[in-house]
Amino acid sequence: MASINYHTREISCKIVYYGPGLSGKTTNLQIIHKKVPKDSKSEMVSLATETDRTLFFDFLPLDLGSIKGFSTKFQLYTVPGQVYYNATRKLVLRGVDGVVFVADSQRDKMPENLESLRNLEENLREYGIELKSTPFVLQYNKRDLPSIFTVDEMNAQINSYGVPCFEAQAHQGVGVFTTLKAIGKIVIDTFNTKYSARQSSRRPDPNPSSQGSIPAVPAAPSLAPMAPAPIPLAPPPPLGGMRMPPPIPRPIPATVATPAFSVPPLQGFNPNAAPAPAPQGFAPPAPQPQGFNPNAAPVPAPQGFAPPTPQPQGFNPNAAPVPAPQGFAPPAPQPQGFSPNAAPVPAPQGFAPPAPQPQGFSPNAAPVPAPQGFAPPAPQPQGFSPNAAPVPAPQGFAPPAPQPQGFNPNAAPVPAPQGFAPPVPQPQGFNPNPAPIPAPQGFAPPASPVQSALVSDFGMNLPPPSATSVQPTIATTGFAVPAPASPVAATPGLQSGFFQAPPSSLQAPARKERLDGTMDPKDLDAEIARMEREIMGQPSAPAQKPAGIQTNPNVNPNMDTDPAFSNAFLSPDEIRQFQQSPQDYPTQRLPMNPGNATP
Amino acid sequence: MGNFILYKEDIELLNKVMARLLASASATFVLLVHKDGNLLTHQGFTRAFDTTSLAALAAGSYAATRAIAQLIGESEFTVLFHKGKTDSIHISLVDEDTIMVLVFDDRTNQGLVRLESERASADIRTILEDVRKNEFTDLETSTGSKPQTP
Repeated sequence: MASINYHTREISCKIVYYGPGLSGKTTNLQIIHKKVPKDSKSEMVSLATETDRTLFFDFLPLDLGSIKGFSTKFQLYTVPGQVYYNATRKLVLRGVDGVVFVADSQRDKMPENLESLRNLEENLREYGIELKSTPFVLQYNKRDLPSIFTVDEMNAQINSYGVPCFEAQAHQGVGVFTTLKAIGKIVIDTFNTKYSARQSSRRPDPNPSSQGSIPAVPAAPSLAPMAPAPIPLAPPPPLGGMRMPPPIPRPIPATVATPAFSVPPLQGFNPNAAPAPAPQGFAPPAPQPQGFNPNAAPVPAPQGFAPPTPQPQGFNPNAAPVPAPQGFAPPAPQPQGFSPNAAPVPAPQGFAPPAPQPQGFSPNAAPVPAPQGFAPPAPQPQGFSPNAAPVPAPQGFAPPAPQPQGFNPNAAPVPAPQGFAPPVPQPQGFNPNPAPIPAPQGFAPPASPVQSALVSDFGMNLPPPSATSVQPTIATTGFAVPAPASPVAATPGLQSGFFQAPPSSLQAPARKERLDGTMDPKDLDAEIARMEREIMGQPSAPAQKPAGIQTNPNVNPNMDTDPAFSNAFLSPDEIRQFQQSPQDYPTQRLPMNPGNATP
Repeated sequence: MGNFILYKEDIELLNKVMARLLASASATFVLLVHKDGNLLTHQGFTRAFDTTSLAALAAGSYAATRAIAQLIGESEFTVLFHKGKTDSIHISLVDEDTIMVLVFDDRTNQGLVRLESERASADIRTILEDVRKNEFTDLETSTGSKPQTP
């Protein structure tokens, strides 16, 4: 769809060259690129294979003069013509404002033309566009080859819509600019019509009598025989002129009194454009030069290009701007840190452990009625890489502050999980899918949701009342989240022990994580037992790494002690120091608090 | 799908959000691109780059990736990330018609870029919701500013 930028005073339109393979679409763009003066074009982008077949699209931005002080930016695209590139053809058609169908005139290529035309209609329909209501012209290319259809035969076969058609020899530049000018004019006219109608519907028309007068159907221009046209820049032979096919005239629109703007004069292309008699429907200026004259003075809006603004029947002049999209999620809650599982875990309100026991849970507080933490309102999974942690959130560095880990009843929503080297019992999951399972609300009270999830996902038999005090902790790991039925089977490679950390890695966190964020059911018993010991006040067993527990092979388990890593990150002390004096920070960007930046 | 009509106020507001994004993410430049390939506006160090082609290619790349997403049962991917030796590109979906192309180098990092572009996207989305309600005004008489509604 065209866009109008009132600030930079630009109008952008998208024109797509469509057609079967090897019909000359890319050649059209290449000729345009070659002949257009440098200041009205950018570089042509061609996504082609090694054999110069278009793979995705060719792209040529073109500046076609100005309309009432607004410069018109046409973006010319081609599609890959080969049959099996239909997916990419469809992508290029998105938001198209005008279509040029480049047909191969050779007799044996007609089936491909028809197939491609049908494909064009299909693809446009998927975007909700009808070809007959879209600016559309035909170009009959390769007119210099032997064994071609005549124009009338071509019209009869593929011009069922009765659109303007042009003969061309693209590789010599013949007919290329005629086609471009025609489609540009139709696109602008369509634009005009759309907005003039919208304007006049808002404003009373001072001259209502001019409304609705339908001009006569223009007589078809003389079908001049095609000249050989050997030199592209030669003085203009009158070939390639527009032909209006006799059988089905395109609906001629009604005029509108005050067009929003007129067609650009296509500066530089048309040195000799004599003012043609005004209301010729699609007729370009009569003596059409095929070549390109770079010295041509800009012609001030030749009349032939500015007929009374037509109002094509098929267009919807009242198309209001599309209302705001409804399908978008509201702005996500801002993540507090860079942790991969930034799901805020609200503290269960009914939880009342003794205050000075930050790590533990009161065994007496066991039956937690559906903790809120299991069904937060779908926190936005920011999914940040843990490697990104150091930058803005100093919390990401396992701050030495005595922040109580776990379920502190007084803590409001537990902020960002600690990214690096979390304290051992902290219930941090490595879960890439932070959306927790909503708590089954009405579930039987004795079995907490976590418990039921464990049972359902792992077939575990948990001791009902006594162990419940542990379970909320486990649940916050996101342990119960997607849980394929057998995570062991899902990652057979990890079970081989191949990636086991060396035995010296006793410093590694005892929390057992797997790459998919789940926990091996085999290890769960040990984990629960360890937590129970902690809760009961017994000294925790040394954080030894039990056999068979896998660690993330991508993380060096000795990262904390390995000298190779000692300089990689700032120490917590350094972090704190720079928090006090941000101006001393080694790079200016790190202590910045982006959330508070004011424009 | 209506036409995009941008007035001076819209552009200035979008530019402000994007300039803030550049500062906070330490990126090189940022483009706001319609999915059709039109460049809507840009901020940052763009003088050395062909932003028009970049916009068209980014939109093409996004469209291709979207088609891939649909092949695997996703509606679309919301983030595309191309990492280079020093410069990288982060393409993110802003709303159903618009994508944001953020170019940055190795002086910042991807996590920060992602975080900040998420925040900026939310702001831009809000602005674009208003942009869609814009009405056409006469080109000749327009000053570029949004017409005052009675």
